[in-house]
Amino acid sequence: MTDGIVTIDKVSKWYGQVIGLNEVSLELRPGVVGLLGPNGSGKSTLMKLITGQLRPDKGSVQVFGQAIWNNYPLYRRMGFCPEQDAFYERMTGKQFLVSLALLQGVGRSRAVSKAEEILERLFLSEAADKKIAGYSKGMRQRVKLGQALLHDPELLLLDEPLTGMDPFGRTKTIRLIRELGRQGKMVLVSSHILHEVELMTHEILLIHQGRILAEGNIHTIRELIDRHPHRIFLRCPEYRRLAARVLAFEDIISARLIPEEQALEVETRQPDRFYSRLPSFLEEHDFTVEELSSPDDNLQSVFEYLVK
Amino acid sequence: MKAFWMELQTTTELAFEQLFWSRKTLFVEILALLPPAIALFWRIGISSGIARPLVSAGGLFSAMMTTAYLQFLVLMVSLFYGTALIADEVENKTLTYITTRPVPKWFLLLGKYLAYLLIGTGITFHSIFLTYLVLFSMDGGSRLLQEIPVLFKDLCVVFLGVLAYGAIFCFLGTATKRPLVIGLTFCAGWESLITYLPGVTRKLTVMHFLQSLFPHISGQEVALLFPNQSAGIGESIAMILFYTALFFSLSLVVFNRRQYLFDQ
Repeated sequence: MTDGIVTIDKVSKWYGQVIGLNEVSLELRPGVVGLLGPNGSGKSTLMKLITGQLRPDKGSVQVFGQAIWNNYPLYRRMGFCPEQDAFYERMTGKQFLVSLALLQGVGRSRAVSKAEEILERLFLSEAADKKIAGYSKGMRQRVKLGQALLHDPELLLLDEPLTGMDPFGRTKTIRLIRELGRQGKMVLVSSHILHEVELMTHEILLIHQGRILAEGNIHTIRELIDRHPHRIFLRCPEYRRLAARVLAFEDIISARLIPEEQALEVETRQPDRFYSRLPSFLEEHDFTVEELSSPDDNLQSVFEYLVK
Repeated sequence: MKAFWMELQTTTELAFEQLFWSRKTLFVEILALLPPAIALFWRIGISSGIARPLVSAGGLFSAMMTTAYLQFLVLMVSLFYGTALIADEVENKTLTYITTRPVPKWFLLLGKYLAYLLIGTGITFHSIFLTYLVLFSMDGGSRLLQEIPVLFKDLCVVFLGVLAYGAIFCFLGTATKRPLVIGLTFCAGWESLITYLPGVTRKLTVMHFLQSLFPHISGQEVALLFPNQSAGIGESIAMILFYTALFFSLSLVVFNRRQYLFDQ
């Protein structure tokens, strides 16, 4: 018996011939943990196994020390915010939350007050009596998050909760998730955007092709990522001259010219150093950079590095 | 106990919301309004002298109860709503919201089944009432009260039909990916054809027991068509309830075991 809220032991899950999760073992303790992985990496499968919506083909999933599959009393202690944008569309936000609070076993008056409290917390009070069908994408995301918080659960599983949220909602939700972690709850948040997760927590799980690639502090993982070459795209009218100059830097591994875009792509092992030095360098040598981007911000590229 | 009723009511309300406010209700309602419309045309035809009355109002009601209601509308309503109990939640991807609550799955299915019964009886009953009103309000409406015992028996039999077929189609909806196709085959094939086969095979259909209970086919008529084949009232009710319990239990077993997220 361990003290983990969630204990996953050598779990595998197959979708026919395709493997969704492959021999995954992990233990989750109170605090916020970011589940990071590209689309199709197994994040949702892991969430659905922990919430007992899927049954492992191999291994075991235990929540609060008990097997979760068909163990409905455990749902009093856990909340789940699914990824899909699906609702009982004709219901108002308040009706939706009250109904689901009633299914948590609270009385009607408590359900109503809890729903109102959640709507206020998520800045949805004004839209409480509007039909969900008329909600914006951000409002729908917030009400979906709200149904997971209704019963003040100890364990929260949030599958891509920031997708489609407006900047205001995003900031508030990130703050809320951090607050829940500080309250001692176990919050597992999935995302495929690294910087989004960084704003919520430093504890992350990297998942790719159904396997946990790395787990622990985000800085360790960043170091791991930074050990691999990082590509930077620079669009500049004088891209040939720029290439010649940047190649003089010792941390630059290569520079590739892209004439059709009047650009170059450099590879570096120390992206932070490169970025911090770049503004003064451009000014000193009188370069005008029209576009600066990193193809590696795409998490898929990061994972490709890590699995090599 | 109070919480039990509250949760059951909530499950039923959620299911009602999803089942009733769907496109299928419009389609089923059109089907349900066909028999009263036919009755109305017949009445207008007779009243205006365009048509000759080949059959009495009572005779037409009797024929419609047997064919339009028992053998058609009850089957269609049960098929469309019964198969949708779980399938709609899977299709709309809302199943997660209710299956991740501290409520046993049998309870969720029971709530949904109750919602189905409300909608199923609501649609069939209002259609039957309308047909009854149209046909028996002729000639000053003297037969409106007179025929109420027959109407009551009709409604009871229709309710038993909705009950049993709902459980069967609920099972198809929980266990198969194409419940409508299988359900239509079941309606057009098994329930329609096997019912008229002599021998014990017909006891494997719900329709046989419903027809045995129906006040519109007299015992003599049944005896003429199928000598010694009609079932008694007790046996019929018992068998209908048995089929209901059997298929509802099977639905529960499947609902408990199946991982519906695979279908989303």
